[in-house]
Amino acid sequence: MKIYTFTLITLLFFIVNSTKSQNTLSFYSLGDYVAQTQNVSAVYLPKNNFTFGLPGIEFNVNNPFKLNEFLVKNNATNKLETNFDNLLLNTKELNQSTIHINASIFMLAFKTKKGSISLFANSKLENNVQYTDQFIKVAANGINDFDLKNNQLNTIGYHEIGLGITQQFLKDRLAIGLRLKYLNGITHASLKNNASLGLEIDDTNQNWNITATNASLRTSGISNEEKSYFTGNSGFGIDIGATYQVSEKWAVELNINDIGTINWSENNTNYNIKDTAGTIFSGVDLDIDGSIQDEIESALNTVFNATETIENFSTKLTTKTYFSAKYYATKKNVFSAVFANSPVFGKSMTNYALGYNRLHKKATYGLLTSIDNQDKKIKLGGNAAVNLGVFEMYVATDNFFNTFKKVEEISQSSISTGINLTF
Amino acid sequence: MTARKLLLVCTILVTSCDISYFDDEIEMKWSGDLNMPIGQINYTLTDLFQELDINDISEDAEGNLSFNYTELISGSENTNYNVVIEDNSTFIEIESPLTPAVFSAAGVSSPHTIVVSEIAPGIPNPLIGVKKISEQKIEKLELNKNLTGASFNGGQLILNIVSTFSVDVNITIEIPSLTTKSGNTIYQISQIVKNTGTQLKIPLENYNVDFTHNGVNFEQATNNIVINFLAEFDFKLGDTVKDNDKISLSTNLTDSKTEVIYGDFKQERFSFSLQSLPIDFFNNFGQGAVAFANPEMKIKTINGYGFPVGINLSNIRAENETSSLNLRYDGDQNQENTIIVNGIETYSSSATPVITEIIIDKTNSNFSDLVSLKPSEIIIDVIGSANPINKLPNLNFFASINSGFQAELEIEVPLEVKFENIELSKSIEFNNGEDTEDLVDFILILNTENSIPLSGNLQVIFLNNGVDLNVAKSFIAFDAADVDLNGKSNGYKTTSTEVTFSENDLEKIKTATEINVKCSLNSPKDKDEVKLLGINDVVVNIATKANIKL
Repeated sequence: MKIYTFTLITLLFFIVNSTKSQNTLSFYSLGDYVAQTQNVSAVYLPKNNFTFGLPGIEFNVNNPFKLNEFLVKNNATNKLETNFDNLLLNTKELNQSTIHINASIFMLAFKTKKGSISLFANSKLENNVQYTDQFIKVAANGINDFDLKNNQLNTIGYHEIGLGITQQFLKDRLAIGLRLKYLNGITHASLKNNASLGLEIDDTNQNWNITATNASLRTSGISNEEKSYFTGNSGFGIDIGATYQVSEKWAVELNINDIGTINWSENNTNYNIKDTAGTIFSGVDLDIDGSIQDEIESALNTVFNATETIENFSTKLTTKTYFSAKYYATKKNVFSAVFANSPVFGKSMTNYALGYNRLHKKATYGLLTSIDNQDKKIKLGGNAAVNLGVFEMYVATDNFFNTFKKVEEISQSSISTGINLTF
Repeated sequence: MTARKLLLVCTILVTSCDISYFDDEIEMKWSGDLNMPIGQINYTLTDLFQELDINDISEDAEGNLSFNYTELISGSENTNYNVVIEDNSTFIEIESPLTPAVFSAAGVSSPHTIVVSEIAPGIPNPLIGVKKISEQKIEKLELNKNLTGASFNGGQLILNIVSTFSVDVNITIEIPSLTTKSGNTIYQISQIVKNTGTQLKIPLENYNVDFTHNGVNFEQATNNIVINFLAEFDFKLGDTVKDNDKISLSTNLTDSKTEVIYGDFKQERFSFSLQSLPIDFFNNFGQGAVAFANPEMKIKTINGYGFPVGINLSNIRAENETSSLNLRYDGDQNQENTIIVNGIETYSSSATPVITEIIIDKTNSNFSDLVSLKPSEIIIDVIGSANPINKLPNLNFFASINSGFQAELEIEVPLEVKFENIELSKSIEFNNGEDTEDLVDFILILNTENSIPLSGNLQVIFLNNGVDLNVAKSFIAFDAADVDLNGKSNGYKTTSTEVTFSENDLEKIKTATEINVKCSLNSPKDKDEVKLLGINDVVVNIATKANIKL
C-alpha cells in the first residue's frame, strides 16, 4: 500500500488543494492601525494603548483554475462532479499555486513609551504547489506514459505562539520590531527537491519502465493517528522588521518574516521510492493460489522499491520579505510602494504594489494595485480598518473583483479580516 | 467617509462571499486509462495436461511425452483344465484252476482231499501240481480330458485280496500304470494268501500314474489304469481242494489328489475376464482429427499353465460416443487376429511361468486407427483357446498349484501427433462480474512465447446459466513453434494478440456465471506428426489496456 499512499497523498495536495502564492499586500498597508499586521510587519506602533484581538483570518489563495472548472455542475443530477479533463484543458505547462491561511487565535498588544509589546497565537497553513501539465494528464487520463518532473510540494501547518517587541530609536525615526515565536508543527508534506517519477509503457506488452529520482515525500501529522491540538513537533522562529522615517514625507520599511525551523518528530511518515534509472515491471506470476490483486500490489511495492520510514526531520519556514516606501503627501494621505518577496521552491515569488491610504484617527482605508511576477495581471485591492468605540474591524483584499465573485469562479483571492477590542 | 459607512463597507466585504455552489453534493467522477502488464504464466505441456485433469501422461528421460494406460486381464474360471480323478473301484477274480473237469479226470468229486499221487499207476493225480493263473484289468477312468499321466500328492489305492482256497496261494499284483516317484519303478507286490483276506494300502503321494498303458504297452491309450493279477498254486497230497475256490482282488482308488496332470487339452476354450479400459485422455478433446505416429499396445503375458494359449484380439475395440472400431492384428502368420502365448513346456514344481511380450503397433495392426478414434474407452473382450496350433497330440499339463495366466495390456501412445483442429475445452465458474463494473472498455493483450509445435486458437464464451451471452471472442493465442527434422520443437515462436471488449461486451459479461474456454490445437500444416515434449511450454504474458470510469 505504500505506493498507493504515496500517490494518494501527492494527488491530494497537488489537485485538491492546489493554489499558488500571493502576499497580503493590502493587509500590509493597514500597518499600525491593526495589531494583526504584525504577522507581516514586525514593527508595530499602535494607535491604541491596548488591543485585544478576537479571532481573525488572513486568507490568500492563488489558483491556476477556478473551482467550477474542476467541480462541474451536472444539471441533470444537480451534483458537482469532478472533471479532470476540464482541469487539464486549463492547465499550463508549469503551474504554481499557493494557499496561505493565518488564523489569528489570540492577540494582546500593549503600547509602550517607545513602541509596543504584544503576545500572540496564530495557526498557519502554507501550501505551496508547483505542478506540470504532465501531472494533471496522469490524473485526467490515467496510467499512460508520463514523465513527472518539476513538480513540487511544500505544505506546512503549525501553531505559533510568541512575543513581539517594537522599540523606537533615533528620536523615534527608527523603529525596530522583533517577534520571537515558539512553533508547534501540526502537519507537513513536502516532496524532495528535483523529485521525478517517470513511466514509459511498452506499446507491445504494456511493460512499465519506471524511472525515479528523489521521489521522496515527507509527511507529518497526516496519518490516522489520533491528534491533539499541540504536538511534539517543536521549533523556533523570528520575525524582524524596521521602519525608518527618512523625512517628514518619506518613510521606508523592511520586514523579514518567518525565519525559523520546525523539528518534526511525531507522527512522521516518509514515503520513498528508490532512485532508479529504469526498472521494468512486467506483471506478476499468475500461477498463484492467492489474490492476483494482492500480488500486483506487492510487486509494485517491490518494483518501486517503496518504503515507509518514520525518521525525524526538520524544515525551514518560508521566509517572506517586505520592503516598502511611503510618501505622506499630507498627514491624511499616504502613498506607498510595496515590494514583497518569498522564495518558493528556489524561485522568488515577487509582488509589486502601489497603494494609497486615507488616514484618520480612528480609521483608515485605501486602494492598492498590485502585480506579481507569475501571471503579470494587474489587480486592484483595498483595505479598511475602523474603530467604533472599543471595537475595531478590519478587512483587506488584494483583488476586489475576485472577492466579490462567487466562490466557484474565484481562482485568485485574498482577504484578511477580523475584529479587535481596542482601548 | 464616515466610520459608520466604512464599517458598512467592511461588513459587506466580509459577508459577500457566496458559497451556495457547494450546497450540491460533490460526486467523484473519473475516467482514464489503465495500461499495465498483469503478469505471466508459464504452462509446460505437462502443466497443461494436469490443468485438463489428464493424469495418464508420462515423460521419459528425454522429455518425450506419452499417455499410458495399463490393464490386467487374467484367465478366469478355467477350472475345466483341472481334472479331478474321482474315486474308482475295480474287481478282479481268479477261479480255481481245479475245475470240475479236473476233478472228473481225477475221478473224484469236489470237495476232495488229495490222498494219492497217482490216480493210476504212472498216471499222476491231475489235482496235484503247480498252477498259474493271471488276470488283467484295464480300467478306463471316466475323465473329462484325455489324460496321459498324473502325479499324485494325496489319496490311496486300497487293495483287498480275498481267497477261499484252503491252501497257500502265491499272488502277484502288478500295476504298470503306477510308478514310484523315487525310482520310477512299476508297482508290484507278491504275497502268499491262504483262505483269508488281505488288505494292502498304497499311499498315492509316492506314485505317478501313467494312463497310456493299454495292457500291452505304454503310450497306447489315455485315462487307463492297468492292473495285472497273478495267482500261483501248488496243490499237494493232503490238500483239500474245491472246484469253486476263488481268489479275488478289489481295488479302491480313494481321495486321490494330483499335483499335476498330463494330457492333451485339445483346443479347449480359455476364458478371460472382460475388461473395459476407460481412456480419459480424450475427455477434453472436442471436434477435430488427431493422428498419432507410433501408438502401441504391449501385451505382456505370464503363462503359468502347461499349455500354450491363443488369444483372439479381434474383439478388442475402441469406443466413443458415436462409433467403435475393432482391432485388426496380423502379426502372427499362423492365425489372424491371434497372438500365441507359450506355456511351460516341462512341469516341475519350481517351473517359472513363461513370459511373452507382443507389441501391437502400426506395423502389425490398425491400433493407431483405434487411438485416432479418440475413444472414451477400450473394451478388452478377448477369447482364447489352448493349443492354438493343434499338434495332435498336444503335450500339456495342468498343475494344481500354478501361477495362472495374466496378461498386462500396456497402451503407450507417444505424443507424436498431428492435430487438426483438436479442441480442448474447459469450463470455468465466473462470479467476477462486479470487477468489470468500472471498466468502460477493455483490451486484453496476450504476448505468447511458444515452444510447443502446435498452434492454438482460443475461443472464450461467456454464459449465463448455460445461455450464451453472445460475447464470444476468438483469437490466435499462439503460433506453432518450428520443428527440427525429428519433429521436435527447436525454439520459441512469438505471437501478439489483442482482444477488445467493448462497453457493450462488458455489460453482458457482468451477468456471466460461467466461461467456456475452447482451445483449438493444430500441428503445422506442412508437417507430419510433431513430437510433444514435456518441457515444451507456452509463456503467456498478459497485459491490459483498459479505460476505467469511476
